[in-house]
Amino acid sequence: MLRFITFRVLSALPVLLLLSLITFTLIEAPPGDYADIIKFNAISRAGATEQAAQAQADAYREAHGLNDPLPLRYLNWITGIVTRFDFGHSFYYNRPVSEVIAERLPKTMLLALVCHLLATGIGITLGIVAATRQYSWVDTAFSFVSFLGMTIPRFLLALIILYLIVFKLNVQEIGAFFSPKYSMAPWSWEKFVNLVQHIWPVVFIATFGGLAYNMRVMRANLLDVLSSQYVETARAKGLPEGAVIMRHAVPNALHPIVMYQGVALPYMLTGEIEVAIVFTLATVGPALVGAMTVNDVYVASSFVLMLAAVLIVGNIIADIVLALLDPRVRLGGQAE
Amino acid sequence: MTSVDLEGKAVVPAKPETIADEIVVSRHSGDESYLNLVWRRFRRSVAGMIGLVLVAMLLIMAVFADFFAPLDPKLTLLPYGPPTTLSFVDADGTFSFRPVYYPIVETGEFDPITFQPLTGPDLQNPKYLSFFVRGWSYKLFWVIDSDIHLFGTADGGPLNLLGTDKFGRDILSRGIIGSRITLTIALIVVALTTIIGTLVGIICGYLGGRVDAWGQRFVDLMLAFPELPLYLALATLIPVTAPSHLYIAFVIGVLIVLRWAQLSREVRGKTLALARIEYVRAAIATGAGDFRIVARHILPNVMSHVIVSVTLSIPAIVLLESFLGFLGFAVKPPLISWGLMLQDTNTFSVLGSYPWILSPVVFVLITVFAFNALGDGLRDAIDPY
Repeated sequence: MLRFITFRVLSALPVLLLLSLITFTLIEAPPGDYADIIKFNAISRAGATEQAAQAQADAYREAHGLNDPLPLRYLNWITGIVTRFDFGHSFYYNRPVSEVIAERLPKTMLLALVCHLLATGIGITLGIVAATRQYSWVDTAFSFVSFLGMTIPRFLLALIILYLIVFKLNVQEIGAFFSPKYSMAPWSWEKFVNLVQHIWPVVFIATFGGLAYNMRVMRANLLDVLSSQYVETARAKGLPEGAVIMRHAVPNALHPIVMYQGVALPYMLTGEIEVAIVFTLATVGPALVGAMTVNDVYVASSFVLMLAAVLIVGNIIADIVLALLDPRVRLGGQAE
Repeated sequence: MTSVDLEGKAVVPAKPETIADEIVVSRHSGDESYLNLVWRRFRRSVAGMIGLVLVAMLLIMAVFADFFAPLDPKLTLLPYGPPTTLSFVDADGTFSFRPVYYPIVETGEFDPITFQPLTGPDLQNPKYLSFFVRGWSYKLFWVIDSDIHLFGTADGGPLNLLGTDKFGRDILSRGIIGSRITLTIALIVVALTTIIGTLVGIICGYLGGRVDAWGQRFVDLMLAFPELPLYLALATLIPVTAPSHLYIAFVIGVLIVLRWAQLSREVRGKTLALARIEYVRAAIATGAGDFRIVARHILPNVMSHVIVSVTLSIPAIVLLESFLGFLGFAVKPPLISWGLMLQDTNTFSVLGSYPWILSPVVFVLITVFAFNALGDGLRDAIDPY
């Protein structure tokens, strides 16, 4: 087991390294850098002359090593991460990138995790309900909801909900986690309620799609299991229907859901990012888009790197859980 | 036991020919009945049939877009004009068979707070909706000159059923004509990703060994990228000053780079499983070449999966295009696409004052729904045995 985990973790490292190289190159490749933005701002906002702005931009390039050739900059950046856990300096936020990440990534992860748990829990429950009442109106209604959940694009749903709550319900402070009076307050029940009031659209939208997928997978699996012989046997020996389903059928139908979690995590993460971009909620999504537009290289590449790492770790965890559940997987892995 | 062995020995010399004959004959008649079976099963799914009809309508709309669009998509009228509502009641309250509407004009008054000129319906000037009217001229299929449109006003006056955008262009007409670019992008991307993904998948799955190991490692890398950030990074690569047709080629290229890996992974899995099935082994035993085995035995069996994946990835592309448009990376202005039309919706103040600029969303929703329903129905029907 330990060998299995070590192998998976070690084989992920070169992927991450290559990924960081590609991302960095891609983001750096287009002409222009952050100093151009400084020059532009100096001319348009501060009314500086062309020469003064140019001098300012040149000084900035010199100070932040933007004149170095690309391979050197990449090497500096990646050795900083590996040796000192230093992700570089953010031009736009004017502080270390690690701070920006520490501020935003946990929020994104937490939101994605909440959505993920909700989607899995509710999805499985609805799947069980639908499968045990196959072809009834409940089943039809749930199937319809799951089809909607998988079909309605998240960002369009976000856009429509955003319009409704801002302009029809007149909710202010969209894009913040708290109302101003709670932002500095210590944690309390009211503050939590306030938080929920602010982030429910994001959670709702990101959950909706995942819920639909989980429900579909669960329903199909449970129907397969319910027609198998040991379920028939359990019924024949006189077990109540509830016990048959919860003790015999559901645990065996959960297996593919676990396997599916490795795919579900990136789905939920992308969902959270998409919705957060529309709502400009202060998480990874908007920061990433912002960093890309102003050429804040280190922020953008670090975020991509972190997200990729999260995805890879998620996949490894799903593999481990699956290996724990099913000896065929871990033995099969060694046999090949 | 012995009789089987004896029979087997006796049959050996004649085996290759009889099997080859049988395969050819049964494949030929099997093909038609397979399609029939699929169609029979597909017809039973209501959602699938609705999807099929909607997809057909969408394609017809895209091909004859100029005919369906009531106004020239480049004609500028009042900026942010609200949608006109049609009614069947005349100004004097009598019922009219021809739908009547009142064109939106500037009232000459100003909003007391924003000082924007106020607009409203011109009640003095009822206009009637007509069908097959003469309007702006266009070229059908880029060749035939025509100026007939499905509907419009008899005198060619403006009719903005979905309102107008920030330059005063008719949103309905732009949406109808924009379907061309959006669907073209989706179809080209899906066609090319399908070809690349299937090829890579079959090659990896069939050859196996070192090719497979390295190929799959590369696919792993592609799939490890968080999709959205990679897309944004690639989108910033596109030079802003590029001419519009080059820009759209870039968009298509970026989408292809991102989307082939998933399909190739699935096709590889299928190929791996197929390569171990008896009829492929039999084909190898009879001495069929690699190309023949892939083209005649593996490809047809992978095709059903690929077709479903094609129908399901078209809506994904349409969606991605519109999301990119929302973020500001859509096609460039002389071209019209749904993504481009959604670009203005990311400004809250504009969206709040003129909510009808959200209406291109409806086009996207219908398209996504139609292709998804079709794909869902196809997936259930494609394996009728």
